[in-house]
Amino acid sequence: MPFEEDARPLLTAEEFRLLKELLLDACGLQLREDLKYVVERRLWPRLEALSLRDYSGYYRYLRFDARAREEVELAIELLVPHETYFFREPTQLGSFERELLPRLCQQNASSRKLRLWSAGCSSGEEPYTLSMLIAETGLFDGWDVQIHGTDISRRMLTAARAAEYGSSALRTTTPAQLARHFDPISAGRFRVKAGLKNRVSFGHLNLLDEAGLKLLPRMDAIFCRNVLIYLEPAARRKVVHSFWEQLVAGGYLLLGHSESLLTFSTDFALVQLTGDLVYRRPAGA
Amino acid sequence: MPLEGDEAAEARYQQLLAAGMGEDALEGLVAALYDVSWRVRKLAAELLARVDATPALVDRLIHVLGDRGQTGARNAAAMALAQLGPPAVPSLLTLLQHPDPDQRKFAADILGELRQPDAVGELIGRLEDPDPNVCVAAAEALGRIGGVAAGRALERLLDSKEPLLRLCALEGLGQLSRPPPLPSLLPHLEAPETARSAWRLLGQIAHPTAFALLCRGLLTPARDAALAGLGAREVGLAADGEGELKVTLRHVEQAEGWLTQALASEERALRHGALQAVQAAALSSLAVGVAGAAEGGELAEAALKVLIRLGLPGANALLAGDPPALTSLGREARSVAGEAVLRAAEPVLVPALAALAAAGDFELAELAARALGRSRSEAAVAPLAEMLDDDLLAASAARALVTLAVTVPAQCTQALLQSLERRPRPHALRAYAQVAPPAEALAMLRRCAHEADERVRAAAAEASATLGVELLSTALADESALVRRAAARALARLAPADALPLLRRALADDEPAVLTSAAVAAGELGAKEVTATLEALLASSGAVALAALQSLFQLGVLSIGLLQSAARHADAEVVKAALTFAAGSAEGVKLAVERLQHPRWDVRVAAARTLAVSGGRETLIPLHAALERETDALTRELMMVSAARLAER
Ligand SMILES: C[S@@+](CC[C@H](N)C(=O)[O-])C[C@H]1O[C@@H](n2cnc3c(N)ncnc32)[C@H](O)[C@@H]1O
Repeated sequence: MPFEEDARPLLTAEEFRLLKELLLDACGLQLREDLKYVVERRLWPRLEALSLRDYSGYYRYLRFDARAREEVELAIELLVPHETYFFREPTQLGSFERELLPRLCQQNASSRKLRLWSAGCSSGEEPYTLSMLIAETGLFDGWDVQIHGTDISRRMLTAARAAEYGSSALRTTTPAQLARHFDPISAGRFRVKAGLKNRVSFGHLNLLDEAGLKLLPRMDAIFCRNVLIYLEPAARRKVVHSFWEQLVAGGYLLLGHSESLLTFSTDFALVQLTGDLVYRRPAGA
Repeated sequence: MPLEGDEAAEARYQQLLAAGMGEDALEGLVAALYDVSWRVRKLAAELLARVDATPALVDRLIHVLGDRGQTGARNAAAMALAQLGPPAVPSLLTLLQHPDPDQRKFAADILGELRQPDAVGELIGRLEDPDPNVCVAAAEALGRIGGVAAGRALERLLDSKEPLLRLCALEGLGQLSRPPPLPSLLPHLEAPETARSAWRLLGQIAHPTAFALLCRGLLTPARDAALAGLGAREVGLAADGEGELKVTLRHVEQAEGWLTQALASEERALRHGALQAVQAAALSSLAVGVAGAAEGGELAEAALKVLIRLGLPGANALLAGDPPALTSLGREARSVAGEAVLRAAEPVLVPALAALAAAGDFELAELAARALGRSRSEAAVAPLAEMLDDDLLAASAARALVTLAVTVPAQCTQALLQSLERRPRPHALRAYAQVAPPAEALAMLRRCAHEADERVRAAAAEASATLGVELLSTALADESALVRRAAARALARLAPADALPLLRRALADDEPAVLTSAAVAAGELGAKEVTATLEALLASSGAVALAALQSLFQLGVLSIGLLQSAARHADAEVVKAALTFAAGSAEGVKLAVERLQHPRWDVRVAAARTLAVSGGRETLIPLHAALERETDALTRELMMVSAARLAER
């Protein structure tokens, strides 16, 4: 006999709206109306774990319990997509490697320092990819290079720190890249080489948390790909503004291919590269 | 390197953006509709759509539409017009009569995009246009706008001599969910140009004959279209329908391969049809494909239903292989597959579940733990015991062992004990206290009450009502708020006389989390002695006030004065609780009527709900007034339910 007695409770329209408002407030997450069942199914294990009967109870837990902060993070973790992989969006990365990195190399020739940030780095594939691209150019040998990966999901950060990956993360990694940048650990699993790993550091950060942002250094380039699409417009605007603040004058912002700043005006200048459109904080600004 | 042209276009783009949308910018924007760069044209159109829609502007844009040879500009102008909305309609209706067919077509397109019911009459007229492109545009527009007249016109169009128009008519009727009578649909099932749309429309006819035709269609070369027709049906499969489909599928050649492809199709209707077919034929070997059809979320519930029907064999297929098949699925599909596995958890699945737990993916391991807990199998104990030592998985594993202990108590208790002896962890301790014999649990809790890790001390306090007054009293003086909170919560399980002095102490704590737990305990203990303290706590912030309010209600000492002050609380949850407790008193009804004006939507909904259970018919007047005022769609909808219930009484 299967466990019929504890079938998933129903998420009412009212509860869904309350949860949506709460999560919007917490991290700018915009839950689409048609995701009601997705939310219901993803959060069900949490109800079970906390012995809560319905989603109203869960909402009150998220608002009032002493462990509410942790739980809100968990809920976000369950509801935000974390999909990522190495060398994602190769055209953009190619442009970055061939056109932007040389410019940054010139721009920072005197300080010999490079700071990159992968904002919303998920399980780490993106910042490690950047580390690999930098190594490939050979332009920055002997420089002080730091790549920061931040995410709101602690679980993803734990995975990122471990730096061990399987076939899904490596789906577009070529055998040559695999050989150069990874050490095999077991059948189908690989670890990022230590030298590449060492210049990437990870931290927990909600992109809407201004105080937290202050702890990061000013960046030469920010990658924020496939994150803004999940945020509600006001949150998006706020985050983009933070990026502006966080960039050095002349620094670059790179977004995912389905994301753009065109729908709201910003002070960023558009820069057309051969394979991509990127944003730049103008040199004098 | 950037191309020269791109840089120049970029400059124009930025210039346009900088010029903004003032009066004097208008000419520049219209000129930019002719720009060679599509990005500039698009921006111009977007900016124009935000300008005041004066008749002069509409005329300018319509003029651009007439600029033959300037395709880019015309499209951009059409885009701007479509975004301008109603002010553009009168001129567009005139344009429908323009001598130039291109212009008539533009007008029809834009009117369709605007979904203007006023345009239906004129558009029906254009179905007879000498230019077939205009007819098609008019038919498409009617399909978007809808309404009785548009539907009838499309139905008449089914007799057109033009296949393209017949197709438009079918598509339009499909879009409107307004299938024609069966006899007028049948001829279109045969014609290759219209078959696809016609089969889909057939699916919208809720009649046994239509269903029988769809089944028969699965045996023809048009089987994809027929399957999509099945998938277009709103209703699920009835039992007799399922039988009919099952019999049909026996005659379909290589059904499994075909359905596997259909399950992975981009087309939603086709995937949905395939789901029904798999369910009818009980093809459990296709379980992975079924879960895959859930990707994207639209069909997740439908896919889950099928997987549940496939039962144990389906779950087996999801878990088969190394790595287990479901690891290859996307996130949404995995979550659906996971729920199906969970519901099918049986002893025979234990080895596969253990393999899943070890597959290296956290979410799947957590799922495996839950399923192992439900498997009612002794063999599940060992893999769960292993997970207890993994910090991330310990919580799920401990809970699973509690569930499993219903069937195999001794083994589960033993596993928890061994883990605690290796290293005490909070989750294992809580679980152990639930399943171990009382005396043994007590000994372990005593030991753990002195652990350095505050989380372990807290778990010990929480589980330790049986430990008696002394240990709880120590815990209430712990320097960690986590431990004091756990102790306060455990007070409810003491005998009331023992609990009271400790309760007073906890209610004087300065940590809100401790106060909240103490307030809850007070209600559960029936401790009327602390009423005054609870009343004072009503003025605290959300969590504490809510707990105090609930306890006062439980104690039966909630006066109307207190309710009134709770209903003025800044936190919506407190106000909502007050409204719930107010139901049943005349004053409560008055409170609810007042709260219909509350700034928070959820409070207004709660107020209406209170009226629905306790208001007299006279409260319908303020409720209807509130509905009149209400601008939020969901709130209105929920308030209407209450209004209907109230009106029935
Ligand atoms: C789809 S992943 C993108 C990973 C990577 N950038 C890529 O493009 O492959 C999105 C990540 O953004 C994170 N995220 C979403 N909202 C966030 C917020 N408000 N603050 C920080 N991270 C957030 C999620 O936790 C998730 O790991």
